[in-house]
Amino acid sequence: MSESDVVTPGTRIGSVDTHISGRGTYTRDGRICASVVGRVVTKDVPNQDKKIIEVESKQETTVPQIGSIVLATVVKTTTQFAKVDITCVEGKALETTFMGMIRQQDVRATEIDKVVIYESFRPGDVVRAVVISLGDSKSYYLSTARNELGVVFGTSMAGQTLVPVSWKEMECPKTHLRELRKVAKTI
Amino acid sequence: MIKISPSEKQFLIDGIKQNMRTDGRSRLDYRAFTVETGLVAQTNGSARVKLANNTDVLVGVKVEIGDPDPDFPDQGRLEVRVECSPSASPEFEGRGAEEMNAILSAMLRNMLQNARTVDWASLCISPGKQCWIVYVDCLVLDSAGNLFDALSIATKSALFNTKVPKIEVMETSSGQTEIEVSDDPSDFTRLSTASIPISVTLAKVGSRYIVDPTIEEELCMESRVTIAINSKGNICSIQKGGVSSGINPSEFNKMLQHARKIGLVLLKELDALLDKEENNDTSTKIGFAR
Amino acid sequence: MYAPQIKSVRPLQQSDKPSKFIGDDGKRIDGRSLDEFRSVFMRTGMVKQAKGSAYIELNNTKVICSAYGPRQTNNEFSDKGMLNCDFKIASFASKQRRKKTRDEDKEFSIYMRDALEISVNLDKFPKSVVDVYALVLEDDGSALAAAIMCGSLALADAGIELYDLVGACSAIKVDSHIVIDPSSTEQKYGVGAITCAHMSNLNEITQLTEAGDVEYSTMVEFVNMCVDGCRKMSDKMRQTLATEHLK
Repeated sequence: MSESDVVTPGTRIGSVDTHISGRGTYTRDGRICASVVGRVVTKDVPNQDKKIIEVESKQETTVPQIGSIVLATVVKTTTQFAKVDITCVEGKALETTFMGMIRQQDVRATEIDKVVIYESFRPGDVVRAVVISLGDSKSYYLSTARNELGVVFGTSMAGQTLVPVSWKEMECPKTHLRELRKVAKTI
Repeated sequence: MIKISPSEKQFLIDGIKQNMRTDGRSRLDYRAFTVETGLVAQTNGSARVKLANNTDVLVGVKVEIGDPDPDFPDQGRLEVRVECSPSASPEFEGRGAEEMNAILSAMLRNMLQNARTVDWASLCISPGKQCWIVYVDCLVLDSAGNLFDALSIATKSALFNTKVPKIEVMETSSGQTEIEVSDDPSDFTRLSTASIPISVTLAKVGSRYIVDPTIEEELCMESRVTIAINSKGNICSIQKGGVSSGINPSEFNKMLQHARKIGLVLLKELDALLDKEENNDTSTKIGFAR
Repeated sequence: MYAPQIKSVRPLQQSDKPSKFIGDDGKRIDGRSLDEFRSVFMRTGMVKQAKGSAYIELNNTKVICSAYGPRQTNNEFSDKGMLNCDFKIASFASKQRRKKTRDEDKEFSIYMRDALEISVNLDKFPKSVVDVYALVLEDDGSALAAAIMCGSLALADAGIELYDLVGACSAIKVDSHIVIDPSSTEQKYGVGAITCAHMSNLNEITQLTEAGDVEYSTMVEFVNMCVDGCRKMSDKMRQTLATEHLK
């Protein structure tokens, strides 16, 4: 790989007629141009004539988008919502955390008005959630209303790592006391 | 904070494309402006400019004796400050106006801080030791678009109106210089303001550009270029404000051309107005809130 | 015995204005031709803590810049991202020690932001802010232009999606000739100081500031020379990014 294979932002790498714009590129006036520093990569798309053209760069900016799966740490719980600190987006760790919020109606899919936040999350739990909205200026809105979403890691009153028992209970391996959480189905 | 809906924005952009703005002007028409000088008695010079009764700015000039700039010891000095008062718009409260103030002050400073605009050498009293410092303080009382041009017109008028008291420099027996400032209010010198430029702001909206934008048009503009022109047709300062898009270099040259044409017309108009103000000094000034 | 020689300190009041800026051979005081840049050195990745960083040297003008973000912002909700620039000149950077914060810093921060904002794809990070901090370590003319280029490199190094790189250059008129990339002496005694930022692939001027009485025809020449200068700098920036990427 030589210097000439590396593209810089603004360099034209293709045209809309022959390629589809992918990650790290943008379109303007029918031309596809690179938007980051990196190598150009073309991928085939099944059932389509055009290839996807992308630019692979060393650094990527990850920001929570609607629909992305995030890992967050619960910071505060009230009766209406749980405040969380989003630490990972789609498997990539963030340098700075973003604030998120899981509202009472977004904790689970059924019987949403009977949800008690304290029986679903506790401060310190690590939760897998999906971003449902950009929210307001302070936090993103998240939801755990799916089987595979919810608490993935929690600490018991005795300080041990909790072991999941059912979708709403976790057990402390030392004291065998069960604690209520909205548990994620990880299998 | 004034917000504009997407449909209103589209309406303005389409109108501008067809050379019809919401207040009936064509793209390169300027609003009528009024100038009043000598309003504030405590200053050495003052002026108030109103653009179509909406944008209202007040500039006060005070001259004081002080140290010259060490790099230019035989010239006078200039200090410009613009303040957008919170009464002009709620977004100017607290630190909201900081950025606006900085940009406006910078533009005025660039325009005036020039050997050829004002004869700074004549403001020197004693080289390296004392000189006249001209403090230009601008106050934005009502903001309805195009603060740049309003301020430049007001500054030029205020400087035109400025009366610098006559002084006598004497060497005392101990070798120190003493300056005696004349108490007589009619004993003054005027600043030569013939070469002071005024600015013309061009705003790019869609694919066209307009002159003297109103506040709604400012919300639709993609970029702004403020160009200062003096009576010789020379360009004294250019400042491009970001907002959201860049300008093609060839289009930029065209904008310069238009700004120059409009600037020269405006200057003639302003000079005529100022002469009239000068000669009507004895007319009764009804009061500040006219 | 070795007696240290005492050099007399040049009194500050003495003017350092040279008699002629452009010699008879058409060369400037430091031997450059009118449209020649000083020797440029650019490097990215200097600041390990920052997401992206860059360092630029235009002979004796040295600027370091870091980019952080996208980070959460507490401002009101916006579906577009924001760019925040901070421009500072170190107190020891110029010939005379500067007092802490001057008006110039705030003004130049705004110019820098205006110049760079247009090149950033703000839609890619809604509700977030990217901070760019530029610090001028030594100022021998064209500090703002150097800072703008440094900022653009830092953004590219941080992986922020950009429409194009922003090249910047300064010019001034001395002895009735237009010179590119003025040194601090040329900047002090010249007329019509202009700083221009330009995106070469999209051919758009993102920022242009000029101060000084210049004729209209000369102004057009000024702008064209600056745009050419920006293009040259832009090419150099691309080369630097490509080389750094391969390391």
